[in-house]
Amino acid sequence: MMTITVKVMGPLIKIVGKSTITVSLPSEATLRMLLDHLFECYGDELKNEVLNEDRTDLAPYYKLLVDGRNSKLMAYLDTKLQEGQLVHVMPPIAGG
Amino acid sequence: MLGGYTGKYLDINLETGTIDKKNLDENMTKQFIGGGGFIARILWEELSSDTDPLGPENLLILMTGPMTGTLAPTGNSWYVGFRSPTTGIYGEGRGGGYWGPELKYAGYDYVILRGKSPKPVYLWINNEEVTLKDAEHLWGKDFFDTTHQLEADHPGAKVLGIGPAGENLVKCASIMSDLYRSAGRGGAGAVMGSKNLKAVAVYGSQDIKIADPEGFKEILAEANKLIYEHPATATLLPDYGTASLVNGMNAFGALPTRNFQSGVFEGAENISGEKMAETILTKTRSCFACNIRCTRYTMISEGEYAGVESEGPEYETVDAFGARCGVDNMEAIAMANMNANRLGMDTISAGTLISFAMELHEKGILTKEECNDLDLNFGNHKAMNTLLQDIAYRKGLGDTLAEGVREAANRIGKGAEKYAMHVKGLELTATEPRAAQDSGLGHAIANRGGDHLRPWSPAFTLFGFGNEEMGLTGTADPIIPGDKARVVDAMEKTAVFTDLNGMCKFTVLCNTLAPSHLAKLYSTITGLPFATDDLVKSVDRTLTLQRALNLYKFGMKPEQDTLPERLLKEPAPNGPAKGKVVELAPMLKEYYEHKGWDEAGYPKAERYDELGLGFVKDQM
Repeated sequence: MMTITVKVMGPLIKIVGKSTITVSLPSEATLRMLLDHLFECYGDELKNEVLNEDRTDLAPYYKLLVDGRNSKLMAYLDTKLQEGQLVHVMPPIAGG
Repeated sequence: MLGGYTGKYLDINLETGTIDKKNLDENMTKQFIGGGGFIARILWEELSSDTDPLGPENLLILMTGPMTGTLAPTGNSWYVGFRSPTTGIYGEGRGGGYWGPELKYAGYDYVILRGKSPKPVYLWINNEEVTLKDAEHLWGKDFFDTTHQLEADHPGAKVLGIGPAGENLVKCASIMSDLYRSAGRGGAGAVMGSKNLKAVAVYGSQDIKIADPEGFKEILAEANKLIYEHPATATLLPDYGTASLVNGMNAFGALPTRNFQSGVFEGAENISGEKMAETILTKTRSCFACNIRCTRYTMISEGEYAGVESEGPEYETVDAFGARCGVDNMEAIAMANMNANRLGMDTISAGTLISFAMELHEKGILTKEECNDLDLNFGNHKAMNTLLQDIAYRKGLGDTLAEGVREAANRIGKGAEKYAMHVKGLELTATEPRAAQDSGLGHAIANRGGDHLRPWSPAFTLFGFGNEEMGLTGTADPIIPGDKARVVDAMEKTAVFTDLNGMCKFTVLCNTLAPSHLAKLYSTITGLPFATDDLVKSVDRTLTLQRALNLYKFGMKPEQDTLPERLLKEPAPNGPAKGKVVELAPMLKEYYEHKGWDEAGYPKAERYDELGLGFVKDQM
C-alpha cells in the first residue's frame, strides 16, 4: 500500500468537507483508481462535479495534477502513482 | 459616424482652461478602433522623446471603446493613456465599473487633458456642460472621501480621480473610479497629480447608436448564453472570484512568493478565494453590463482589522500583499487593499515594492533604521500596512520606494538591483515565470513593461482554456519554452481586442467567447463588415504602433525585452518547476520572427506598410 495526498479546490472543498485528505491505495495504483476511491468515499455529489455528463472523462476544464504537473502530460488517468505523491483535483479556475 | 461611437471628444488645456469639443475622425475609428489603439495613435502624433512624463507637455487621455456603454457583455471599460513616469515608455491602464459608460452617455468618446492647471481643479462633465472647478477643498483627501463629496455635489455623477499618492507623484499611483475600480499600472495617478487635476465627475443622459440592432440582439443572446453556461464564468468566478487562482497557481508552483524567491507559498490556502468566501466575503457585485459578477465585497467586523470594508481583494492584490510579502493573514491583505484604494495606489506595484524592501532587509542591505524603524521581515503584516502608507506620503524609506522599484534599487545601491522585480521599470505581476515560461515571454515583450494582461497566456498553458479559432488546442507544457511564442501571439489577439473595444478580458480568457463572437459584436455595433482576420490585423496594428512609440519616441531598446536576473539565472528552489530558469532567448527569437520583426527586435519596414502604419517609417 502507498499513501497519496489529495488536495481539492473550489466547490469540491464543500463536498469533501476539507481541502486536504490522505488516501491509502495499492502500490502502482493509477489516477483512475484514485478517482474511483474518491467517488466511493464521497459519492455521486463528487462524481457529478468532477466527471462529464456521460461520465466517460473529466468534466470540461477539470484537471488532475500529479506533483503539480498536468496528468495529460503523463498517461492521464492511467498515470501510475507513487508513494508520497500529491494529487490536485482542480476545477475550472480563472482570473488574472 | 459609425455606431458605438458618440462622434465627439473633449480636448482640454488645463493651463489656460480652454475646453474644446471636437469631432472624431472616422478614418481613425476604422483603423485604430478605440482604447489602446486610439491612445497609441494620439501619443504618436503629439509626444516626442523630450516629453517629461510629469511635465505639462505629457498628455493624459481618458479613453473608451465602441462597446463601452453598450450592452455588449462587460462593455464597461475605460482606459488611460500617457507616457509613463515609472518606465519612461508607453503607459496605459484599464478600469471597469460605471465611469466609462457614463462618459459615453454624456456624449464623448474620450478626453484629452494637456498642460498643468495653476491650482487644483476637478472636471465636471454634465452632458454638454463642461467646466473646470476649484478643487482646493478636495486636495489631500483620499479617493473615498473625494468620491463621496463629489457625489453629494453632483447627484448621479460617476467619479474618477486620484488619492494622496497621485498628488504626491508616487510612481505607482493609480487613477481610481467608482470608489474601487483602478487603472493602476505605470503611474497614471502621478501624471494626473502633476497636472493638478483631482477628479473627473461625469453625468450623461444620451443614447449610443447601435448600427444593426437586430443583429446585435442575436449575437448578444448567443454570447450571454455562452457566458452563463461556461463553468468558469457561470460558477467559479462568481463564487470564488479571481482569488480562486491562489490555490491553483500555488499547485503549479506559479504563485510568486517572498519577492519571487519561490513559486510555492505554504500559507496559500489561508489567502485563497475559497477562504475569502468562507470568512470576509459579504456579497458579490458586477461592473456595468457584466453577467459574470466576479467582484468581491468584503467586510471585517471584529479583531485587529475591524472596520475594513472594500471591494476586493483580487488575485493580483492577494499575491502582492500576501504570498509576495510572506503574509498569510487574509484580513491584513484586505486592509492593505482598502488603503491602496483610498490612497490611490496600484496594489501590484505597491506589494512588489514592499516585498523588495523586505528582501533587502532580510539580506542585510537595509537596516531596521533604514526601514523607518519597522521590523520589515517577511510575514510582518503590520509593518507591511505601515510601509504602504509611508510610500503614499513619501516618508523615509517610502520616499525612495515611491520612485518605483527600478529607481529605488538605483538609489539604495549595494546590489539592490538584483532583487528589483521589474521589466522596463514596471513591477512584475503575480505569475512565477519559471513555472510558466510563456508568462516570462509575455512580461518581457509587453509594451507597458512588466505586464501580464496582453496576454495572460497561463489561462491556456496552466489552466487549459484553449482557443480553437486561434489554433490553441491540446495540452501545453508550461515549463518548457517550445511553442510559447505562438501561444503568446494567439492569446494576445483576443485579449488586446477587448482592450480596443471596452470589454473585460474575462469574456475571452476562459475561451468563453471566441474571436468570431467579438468580430460579430463589433460589426453589429459599428455597422462595419468585420471578420476574424480583421480582428487579428487590428490587434497587430495596435501592438506594433505601441512598440514603435517605445522604440522611436521613448528611447526603448529591444535589449530591454528581458526579465530580472533572478528569473533567468536562479533555478526555482522547489515545486513543479524546481531547477528551472526562464529560457527567454529562444522564445524571444521565435516571437520576433512570428511578429515580422528583425532579429534585433525591430519591426521590419514592410510590416509597417502591411499594417497601414507607413507614417512610422519617417521616424525610423
